[in-house]
Amino acid sequence: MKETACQFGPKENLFGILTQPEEGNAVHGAPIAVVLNAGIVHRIGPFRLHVKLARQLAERGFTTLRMDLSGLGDSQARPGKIESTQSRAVLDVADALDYLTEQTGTDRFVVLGLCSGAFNAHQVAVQDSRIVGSVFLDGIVFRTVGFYIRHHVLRMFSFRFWRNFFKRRFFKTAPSNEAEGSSLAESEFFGEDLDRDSVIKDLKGMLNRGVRMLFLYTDGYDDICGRTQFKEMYGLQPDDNALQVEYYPKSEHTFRLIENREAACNRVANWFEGQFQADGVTTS
Amino acid sequence: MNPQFFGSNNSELFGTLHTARGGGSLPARAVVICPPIGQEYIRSHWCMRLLAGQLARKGMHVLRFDYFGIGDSAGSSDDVEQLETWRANIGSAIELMQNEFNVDSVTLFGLRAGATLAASVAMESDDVHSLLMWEPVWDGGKSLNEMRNMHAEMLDLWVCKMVTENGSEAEEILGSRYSRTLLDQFEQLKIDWQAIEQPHLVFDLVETRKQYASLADNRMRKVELTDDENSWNDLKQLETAWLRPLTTRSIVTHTVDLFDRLERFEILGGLKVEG
Repeated sequence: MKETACQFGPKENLFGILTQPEEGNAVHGAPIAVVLNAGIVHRIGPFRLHVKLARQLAERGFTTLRMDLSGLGDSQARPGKIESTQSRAVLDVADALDYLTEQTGTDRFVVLGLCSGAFNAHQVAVQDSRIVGSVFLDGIVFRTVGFYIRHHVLRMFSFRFWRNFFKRRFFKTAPSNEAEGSSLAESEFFGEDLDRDSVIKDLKGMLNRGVRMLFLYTDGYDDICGRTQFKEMYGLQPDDNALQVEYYPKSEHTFRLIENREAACNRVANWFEGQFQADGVTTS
Repeated sequence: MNPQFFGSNNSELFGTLHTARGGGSLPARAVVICPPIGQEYIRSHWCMRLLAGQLARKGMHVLRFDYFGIGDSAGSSDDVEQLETWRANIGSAIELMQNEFNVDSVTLFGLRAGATLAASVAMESDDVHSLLMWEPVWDGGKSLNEMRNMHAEMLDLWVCKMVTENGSEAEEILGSRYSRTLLDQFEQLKIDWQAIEQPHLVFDLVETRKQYASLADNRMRKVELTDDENSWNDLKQLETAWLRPLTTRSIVTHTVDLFDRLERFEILGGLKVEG
């Protein structure tokens, strides 16, 4: 495995770490994974999730760029004015893809992101035809009737829920569940331009384009409860092929525990291998 | 900024060089930033970038780097079996600065455990002319217990019963796995304040006032107490960015002043003469 520091974009304002497999192990012709920032955490990801993922993909023969979007981590602010209709993330990733094509000759990519990274990955995957796969970790969701039944009703019968409720309520040091009060329409990603119908349209468009997708959701993400919510939200039936959905009931949003992190990394690496191993040629 | 990997092939370290604006001063002023470890490293990454940028704008060459097993550097935290590995990493960072900017010696800046490690390196190195410490870990054992308590509290409030590794070989604490030998050494980690011979500036919380008052006087030490919040042991802030803009600015001002004094007393030394 080889890791290289890369600077690219206008005035080389963007920065990332390229993780490449050993030459004898590389799957040539496979797409390159591009991992986006989760919130404001720099390119290593929460609890170093992105580092582990990139190195695991390299062991399987795939190349990954962990990048900082402009203004985050070690990337500088994007020079020049951005039109209000343009997404900074889409422009930054386009620069990254141009750079990777120039360096490696590859013109097919898989974009990955957690939380806000998944939101940005969604926008990139919709707009950039070079994207052939996407991994959304706790990506865009909104609450459904099923969510309220599973999350709010069924947990009333859970001892641990009540135990934690009282601990959070009466011990000041314990963190609270902040999103308790948000309503169905208040999913954090839903702005004026993004609603359920537009997301469904985007997903169908990507499926028609042949983009292969993996959605991983955690219990720690406040707006989703159970794998079945995916179909409730988008009317799309997950399968074992182009539209895969996973739900981790024991995991926190940012994969704080090693056990959860390893499970997520293994799932993504297996998915990558299953979807793209056949596209390339292993040099061994 | 000039990001790069350095060090030997099998233990590559990642670092970012910030070159002094305007070419810097003569003799060159060089600062190596020693970050905290674990989740504290992630929380303070942005703050360290801002600090490095501000120091560079004041004419200093600055290196930020990641220890082996942390951040972008090679390895994982459980590969580190000795604190000496991280001390040696600080040595490699100093060497990089000496080669890049042709300086004899540097200032070590450390945050939290980074400050404690920096102090122990400074005691044994001729390549360190001064030391800046921000909220240093006084007692590794106490700090480790605080992290373990946070970890236990986090698990206690988990959605279901979870157990993490805590065996004779390794222990998981707040998202990182550490080797038992490293933790045993970290528990013994303390700052030997009397052994620090270089001028050293310490920035710490007001609540530590008594600890500093208990130290014997040392003309080489200056302590600045700040009324910042102590958030290192607060589970609610485990994943919030640690930013201290006012103290950062104060540190920059004091660092400039420190270098001015070092030059005045000719402690800084000149440019290294090749050959």
